[in-house]
Amino acid sequence: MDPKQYKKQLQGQLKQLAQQRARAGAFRDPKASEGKRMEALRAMGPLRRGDDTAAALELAAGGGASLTLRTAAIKKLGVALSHDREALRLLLRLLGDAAEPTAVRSAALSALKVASFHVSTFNSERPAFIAALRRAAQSDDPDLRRRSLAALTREKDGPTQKKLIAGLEDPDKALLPPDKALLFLSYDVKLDLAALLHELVRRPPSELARLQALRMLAADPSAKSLFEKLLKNKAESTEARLIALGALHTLDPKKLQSQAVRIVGDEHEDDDLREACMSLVSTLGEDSPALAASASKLLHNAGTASARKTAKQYLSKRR
Amino acid sequence: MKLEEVAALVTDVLADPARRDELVAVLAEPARWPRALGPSEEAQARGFVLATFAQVGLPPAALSFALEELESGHHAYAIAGAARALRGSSSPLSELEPYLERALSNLVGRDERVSFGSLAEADDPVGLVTASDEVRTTLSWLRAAESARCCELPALAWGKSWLCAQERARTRALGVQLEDQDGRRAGLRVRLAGRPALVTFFYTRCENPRKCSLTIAKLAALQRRLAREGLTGRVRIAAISYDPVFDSPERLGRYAEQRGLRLGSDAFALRSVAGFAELERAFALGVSFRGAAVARHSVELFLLDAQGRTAGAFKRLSWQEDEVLARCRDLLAEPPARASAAWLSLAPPVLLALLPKCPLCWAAYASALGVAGASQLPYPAFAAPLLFGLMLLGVLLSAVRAKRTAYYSPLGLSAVGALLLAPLALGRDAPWLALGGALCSFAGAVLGARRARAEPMRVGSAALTGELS
Repeated sequence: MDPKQYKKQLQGQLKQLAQQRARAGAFRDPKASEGKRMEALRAMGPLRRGDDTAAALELAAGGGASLTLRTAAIKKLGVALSHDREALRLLLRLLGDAAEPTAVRSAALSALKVASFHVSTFNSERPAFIAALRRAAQSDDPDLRRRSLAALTREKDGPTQKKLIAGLEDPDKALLPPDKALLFLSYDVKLDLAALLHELVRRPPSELARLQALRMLAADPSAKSLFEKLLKNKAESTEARLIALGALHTLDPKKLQSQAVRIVGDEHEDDDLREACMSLVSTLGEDSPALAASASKLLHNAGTASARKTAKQYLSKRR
Repeated sequence: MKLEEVAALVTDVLADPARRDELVAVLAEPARWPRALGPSEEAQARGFVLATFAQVGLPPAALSFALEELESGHHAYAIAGAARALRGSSSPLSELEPYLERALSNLVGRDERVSFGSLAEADDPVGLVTASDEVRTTLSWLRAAESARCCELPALAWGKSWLCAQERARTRALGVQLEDQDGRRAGLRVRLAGRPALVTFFYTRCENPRKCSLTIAKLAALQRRLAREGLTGRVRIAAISYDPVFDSPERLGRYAEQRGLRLGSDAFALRSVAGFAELERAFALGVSFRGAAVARHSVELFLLDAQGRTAGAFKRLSWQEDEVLARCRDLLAEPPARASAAWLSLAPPVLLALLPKCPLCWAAYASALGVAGASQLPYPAFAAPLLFGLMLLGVLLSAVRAKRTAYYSPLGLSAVGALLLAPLALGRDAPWLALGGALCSFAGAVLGARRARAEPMRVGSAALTGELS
């Protein structure tokens, strides 16, 4: 590039930046209208200057600012949390304070989750984070409660796990829908939930909960016969049978082979299930003439294009 | 025990500190631990028990449990309880500092607020004290105590034991069938026979990087040290899984090799085919289970001498390679067991084979002893079927062994011997059958005894490639 042209371009960019900074400065002005302050917050980049961060902190803390402005300021603080303990502690306080509006607490949670990746700063505040999350998990707002419980269960927080299990055993104590509670409990593979999961499969509070319980039983040897029956039962939903297929592949791949081959060749079976069996056995199972014969049937009588394609791919590889 | 019972016991001990050893007993027996919902709750219970020692005094027997939590634990509450426990010690030692410093490192990313007013407070801590605060408090206490100390304090046994040759008892679990990383099955005795061995326990789903993963990595480092000292093949290594259902041979092999442990004829990653409970009892393993999954376990390394007897153990606390290597050298320097002891084990089956089982046997012995004309000896009518029954019992036992070991030659010979001798049991006169039957029975007994001692077992009917030496 021509040096003069480059200089001109650079000067233009610097001028633009200066104008942006001038506009952004409006957000620090408490007398400016909310609209102007919001526009300034949106327009400015990450908070780098101390006075910008201080202004954002002041907005986030309240001080008469509207909810919209507060949550916008909290979002802006996100980057600053990696090096500013004062900002971190403010957001922890906001998250744990039941008197604060839900939107503010929710925005604080989002910002803190991002901040948790900056371990050098965040680790020392973890105890306060867990305490704040536990308080937020008691919120009446279902979304904040769900997000807090998700964060706690990812940390394998024992008291939270106990509460979720209590909610599954007694719906009156439930903090979440059962399928969500199960999903969050599944983050800790060391929990002994086998008895509860079997019970939930037998007497599910909802179909979603039943499916989630099946997923969690997929590595449990005691559930092998359950999955065998599920896979054979055409009256079961496809999703449940797909879970059974995956589980049996872990629990008893040899026995699964013959069953899967049979399913592939059966034109009265669900096409999605046939396709899944075809993929599984052709990739991870043993090749056999029976499989090839079933694949041919799948190719000729499957109702879905993707099932036929899967069979075709296998047969062409075999040749 | 239920959690409520643990809490009640703590209350009783606080009221009567003389009962504090009951808490040590609870810590020492993983099987007694409550079937808690998860590792977190169990850690809370352990931490609560340990913290009690701060008030009732820390007995020496409890020290290794506290140090174990500090060194390799990763639950904030248990670590905090362990740190508090040390403050109950009447002998603060500078040797405890590294454990506290390690605990601070273990708490990074795991720290939480803790309080110990009651077990319920574990779920809802009162105040702002964190686990790392507890550890730092103990460090300060220790350093303050050190500056005031004047006298030499006795060394404490911290989870290590070393037995002299006379004290060692045969490790009873040596017959448990174990499957190695290549799917080959053999008893522990067969794999480790004739050489000192290092036996450790682990499982691939262990989430604590300071336990199983580190143990196998250290074992690999030890293996390399043995190689550098020219001791490859002279000390065997066996790493046995706590989780035989999940830990398939492939998983075991991959896990070990990823951590640098070279598996082969002298180093094995194993899982029990059946009888893990026997291993647990024989080694007094510090492991508890939740359903089929491991709930909690200690770091454990055992040294077996060349006769398969437990010569030493490092339990709960991490072991140092130098010390383990020194113990291995000591074991290698021990004189070998007398060869006659090995041959004596052949005596019972041989004697059984030589036991007269038919009239002709009696006649044969009588002739050999020079009793002329005694081609027939009088005997009770029930003797022949009884003796034949004993022989069939021998064949049955041979069949049981063959099924376990997949080695059928001794069974075949014993069965043929029994078939040949059957007519004699029915009163028929057939000297050649008698001779053939006796020889076959004898050969089957000897072959079975020798094979059980010295050779690996074959899986199925296919011959293995690369048998164990």
